[in-house]
Order: sequence, then structure tokens, then C-alpha cells
Amino acid sequence: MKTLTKTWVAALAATILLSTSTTPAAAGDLKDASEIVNRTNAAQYYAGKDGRALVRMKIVDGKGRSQRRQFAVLRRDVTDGGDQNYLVVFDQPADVRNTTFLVKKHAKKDDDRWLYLPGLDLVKRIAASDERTSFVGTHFFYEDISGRHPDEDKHQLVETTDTEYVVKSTPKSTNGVEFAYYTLWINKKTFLPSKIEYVNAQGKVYRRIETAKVDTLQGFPTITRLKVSDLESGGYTLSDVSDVKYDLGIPDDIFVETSLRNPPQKWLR
Amino acid sequence: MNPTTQRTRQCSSRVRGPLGCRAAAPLVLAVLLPASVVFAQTEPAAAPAAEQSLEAEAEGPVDAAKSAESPEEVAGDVEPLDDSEDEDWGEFDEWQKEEGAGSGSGAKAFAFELGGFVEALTAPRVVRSNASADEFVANEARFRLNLDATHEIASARFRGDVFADAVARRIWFDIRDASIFVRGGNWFNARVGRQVLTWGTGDFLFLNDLFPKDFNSFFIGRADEYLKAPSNSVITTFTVKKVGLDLVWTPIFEPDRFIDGERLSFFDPQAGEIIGDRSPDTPIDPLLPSQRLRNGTVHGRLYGTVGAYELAAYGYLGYWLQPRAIDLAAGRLTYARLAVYGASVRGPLLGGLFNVEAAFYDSFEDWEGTDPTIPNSQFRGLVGYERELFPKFQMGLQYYLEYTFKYDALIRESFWPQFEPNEFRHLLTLRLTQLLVMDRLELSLFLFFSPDELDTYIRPRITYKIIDPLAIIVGANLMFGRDDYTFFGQLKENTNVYARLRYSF
Repeated sequence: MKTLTKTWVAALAATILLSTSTTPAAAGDLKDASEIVNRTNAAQYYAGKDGRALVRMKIVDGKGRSQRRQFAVLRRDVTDGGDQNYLVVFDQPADVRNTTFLVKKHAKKDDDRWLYLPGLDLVKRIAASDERTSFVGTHFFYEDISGRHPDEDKHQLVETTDTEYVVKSTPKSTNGVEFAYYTLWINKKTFLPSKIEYVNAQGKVYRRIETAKVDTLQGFPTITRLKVSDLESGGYTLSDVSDVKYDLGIPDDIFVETSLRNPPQKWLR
Repeated sequence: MNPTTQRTRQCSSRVRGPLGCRAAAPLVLAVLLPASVVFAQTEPAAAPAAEQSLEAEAEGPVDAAKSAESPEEVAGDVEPLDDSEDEDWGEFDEWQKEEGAGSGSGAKAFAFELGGFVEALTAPRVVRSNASADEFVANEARFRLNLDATHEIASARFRGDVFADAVARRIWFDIRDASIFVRGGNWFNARVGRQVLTWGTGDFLFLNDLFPKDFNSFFIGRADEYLKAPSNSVITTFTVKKVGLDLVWTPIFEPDRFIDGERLSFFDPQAGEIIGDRSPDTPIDPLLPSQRLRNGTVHGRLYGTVGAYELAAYGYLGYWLQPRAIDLAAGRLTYARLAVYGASVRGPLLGGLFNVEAAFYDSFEDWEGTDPTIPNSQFRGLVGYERELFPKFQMGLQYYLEYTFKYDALIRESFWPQFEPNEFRHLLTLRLTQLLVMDRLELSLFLFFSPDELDTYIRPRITYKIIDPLAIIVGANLMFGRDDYTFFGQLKENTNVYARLRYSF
């Protein structure tokens, strides 16, 4: 069923792409902003049924001091576009090496999260937290990493250019969000955002996420280089994704407590 | 020092005399501090370059797929969509250059990793102690070596500390982990060797976790991980459809590294006062069970999840981890036999997490409670709740109860009934944690308070990651109590403040 849907989406996408290339910004363009954002969500966070990647981040603060983060991620979709499981194994910085992180992401309720502290051999469950706070000390938010649910915002198609859809997304509830709205520049072919700008209540852009590199890997356009900037402090974080593999056939039963203690090397390497 | 005490067993070398380890901690601090200055100065040097690239970008962000003009590229399976070596993104290339070519360490069949840290700790007492001679509870310089050799089906791990301890005036070698892990498919794995083991749902409260703890480390400002002591054990894990079974066997009983008076003072009911290393009765030197196969300990845990809720059942057969029994013939403290059965639940509640855990401590050598040389059976219960109150501000609350069975018999037969804990001992804990400055600064407070014993233990701590490998930690261990004989009250003369500097590699 899932495969069927995917094939259908791919076929549709191909049709659209073909038509787009001949007549830019013509009849083939999508008109429904929600549809575009749903596609973006799928392209950005649900490529393949599962995946593995090595992520390196460089955090530069407003004073130019830099730090590193490096971790491997395993992902498996429970339902396409819905629940997902993540296992994250940290390698850098040195003081958190071998710390692991298990996330059961739920589309409709709070995620379940566990953190393993190797020194204590402690599996710590982590309470639900504000999704719009720093992810492991980077300028990324948790929500940037695992995805913001499209239903949380109202989407409005502002502009359709030759190559991009420009969508303005306004939160349905201002609870727990620091932005008034954000604007996405979405590539018409890949449905990946090339840029996202967050605007505060004063109408000022204070935060920007930019795509620096997209690679097509196993047929999936994948953002491999990303930069997030905090325009108020001047700090930013660069993210580089490598060793990406999709559809490895990662079984669901590795997303359990045992894997926190002893990460499944078979899928990590 | 008697060679049978805990610490002597873990040590294979000692340095006494004029050299003195006292010099070691300040020495390491002296080396580390200039190093931190160097780091603070060199890192910002990267700033101008970063700013330049920021300016470059301001001209216009890159369209990710600008160069991907042909539809085939998108639909195609192999061709890269966009490999624009865009000048605007020079910062990425520079970064790659900094770290050397070849970003991924992915496709290796075998990996070897080395790491560790160097750390200095100093912790002076801030109250007058009649019982202990030393003004410091800790003054040490530590070197930690971590080695990992990983393979798909097996891996080896080593965690070893060597530290110069100015309080005990000696060098310690403490191997915290030397173990081999074997994976037998998805349903079975095992780890054999020296290792630290933990389970249960409590926060600094252990009900069903009968693995050895190091209470000395806990009260003197060492890192949290040192609360757990290693044991030589075998753990096997069986997993069937998300239900796990852990079985642990420790062939030679490994007790707690308990407070024995040498470093930290405690209340001795026989003396009727707090005693420390000034007393001839310290360090406490309990009689250990003989090293026979039947004296080993067995731990079990069956666990699984139902929706978002984690359920677990626990069992233990071994000894009390502290020398709470008395061998009258030998005139020494010893370890009584103990079986523990328990269960726990943990899951989300009202935007936070709750946990409930219970354990029955079956002190089966004296079920009637009439033998004053053996501790009575107990019920231990815990309810906890934690949630994020504000962004990056976490709060945790716990209520813990210890109920002693056959309390009347205990009081009737006890050698010192006036010092026995209450039939119901209550304990409340509060944890507050605030992360600031992009998670580099952590303010944390952990508080224990017993409303029936009227004693408290407060652990404030500030952790600041100065620059990635270097962190400074300052904190305090504040123990107060109305009486000298209660759980935390007896530790009041050990109240200390501490500073730690750690360089990780």
C-alpha cells in the first residue's frame, strides 16, 4: 500500500516536473500551499523507508568561537509521513562520545525520548521539551532536526517563480513558538526548501536556514549541506551530512533500549 | 590500612612519603589553566574568515537546485542533482579542509577509538570536623583512558582511571570497565568482564538496582558517573518481540564502596558519635563472604513497553550492599544475605514523565526481625515526576518511602534502639536544571530532604564548558541534620565545596 502511494506520488511528480520544464510556472504548478508543504515534509524527512547518515556540525558563536558535533543517525519510518524512530550515536565532542539518543517521533503526540549516559550505564527517559530550543547546543532546534508537523501552521502560497514556490506559514497557535510566521522557498522539482526565513512579531527576519548542497542519493534528492544562522547574535551552525544510505532494511526491533547500550554496528557502518 | 578493604583491593601501587600526591592536583591545574587560555585565544582567530563568508552570502543565498536544470537529473537515480561548487559556500570547504579530507568514518568493518580526560578536583571541608583530620575531602588529579574496539558482532571496551589522591596520599588504579561484548543476532547479546551496571527508574535513588555504588565519590564532588562502582560480571540480554530479559551474574560479591570513616566521617552507634579517621575504629573493615561460587550474586530484569509506558520487573539474590550485619564471633561488621523483588513503571503524564517503582527487600536470614545482628526486611517505594517548566528548565520531584517490617521486634532487640531509623522513613527530592548559553552553561540543584529525620543534603552545581574539550565544574555538598545519627545528618561534618577542571580528548 505504502509502495503504491509512493509510486503514485513519484509518477505524479515526474509528470509535473516534465510539464514544468517545458512551460515554467504554468498549469502544472501546484496551487495548494498545504500540498506543497506536505510534499516538502515528505522529501525532507521521509526519504526512503529507512536511512542512515553521518552528521557533522560546526557551531560558531557570535564571537567566532567554534565547536564540533558529530553523530551517526539511523532512521526508520513507522508510517510514511507519520511516526518515525531515530537512533543517534554521538562521536563528538569527546565528553559525550558513545552517548546515544533514542527518539520515537509521533505525529500526533509528544515524542518519546531516551538518553543513554555511558559513564553511569544509565538509560534516562527525557521529558517532553520545548521543540524550539537548541538541539545539542547547536543553532538548530529539535524541530528542525525531526520536522515540524505541517498541520501546526496555516500555509499560504505567496509566489510561484520559475524554480520555486514561496510559501508563508503562520502558526495556528502562538503557544511555544517564537516566530510570527516563516517563509519557505521550496524547489519545484525536489520539494526541498532552499531557504527558510523566520520573522518575529516586529516583522524582522531573525533566523535563517539555507540549503548549501543537495545531492541525489539512491534517487532521493537529499540536503547534504545546511546552514542555520541566528541573525541576532551573528552565530551560526553548519551541518554536513555524509555516508547517506536509504532503504537499508533496518528492522524496527533495533529501536529499543538494548541498542542504546550497545548500538547496532551492523547498521551504523 | 587493612588489605581486605575495598580500596586496597582496587589498588596496585601506592606512593607515600615526601613526594606526596598533594602536589599533583595543583600541578595539573597549573598545566590546564594556561591551556585554557591558549584555547580561548586561538579559537576566535577563525572569526574573520567566518565573517567574510557571511558577507559573501548576504549577496544572495544559493538556490540549492539552481544547476539542476534538466528533469532527468531529478528523476534519474544516479546523477547528482546539484554539485554546485558554489563560491558562496566556501566556509563549508574551509571547514572540510580543517578537518581533513574524507568526512565519513562510515564504511569500516572494524573501528578503534581512543579517548578520555584529564581532571583535577579539589574539595575542602567548609565546616569544622572533630572526627576527620584532613581539611579536604578530595584533592586529586585523574587521568582517564577510554579504548574501544568495535566490530559488527563483537567489541571490546576499556575504561581505566589512574589518579593521584592527596587525601589518601597514594596513587590509585581503578579499572571501571574491561569487557567484551558479543552480539548473537537480534535476540541475544552478552557482555563479559568488569563493567558498570545500572537499571531502575529513580533519580539518585536506587531501589531495584543492587549493583555496587561508590558513596564516597558521590559526596566529594567527583563526576556523577563515579556514584556507580564497577563489578566483574556477566550480563546476558535476550530480546523477543520488544520484551527484554537481562540476567546478570557477579561470581564474586561486589559490595558498595561505602563510607568507612577514612575519608568521610559517619555516625557510629556503638561510639554514639560521629567518627572519622581520627578514630581507631576506622576505616571500617567488614568481613566479606568467602569467594565461593554460591556466594555470587544474581540480578534479573524483565522489561518491555506498552505504548509509551515502560514496564519492568526485577529480582536479586545476593547480599546487602552495605555491611549492616554484625558477626559477633569475629567482632566485625559483615554482609547479610538479601533477596529483592520489585517492579517499575515509567511513562508520559501531563506533558512530563512519571515513574513508580517498588521493591521488597527480603532479609531472609532474619524474617522475624528478632536478630539484632541482621537488618530487617523492608518495603521501598518511589513516585517521581519531572517536566520542563520553561524552555531548557527542568524540574524533577520524587517521594521515596522506606518501611521496615517487624519494627517492634527490631526496637525491642536492637543494641541501640535510640539510633534506629523510623519505621516509616520518608524522603523527598527536588531536581532543578537550567541550561544556558547554547547549553554550555548548566545550573543544577539536587536536594534531598527527609521530613521525619529532619535532615537534608543539597547539591548545587555549575558546569561551564569553556571551550569544547574543557569544562569547569564548581559545586557543593551540603549536609545538615537535627540529629547526628540520621542518614544525611551523620555526614554533616563532611560538608564541602568543590571545583573540578576537566579536559576531554
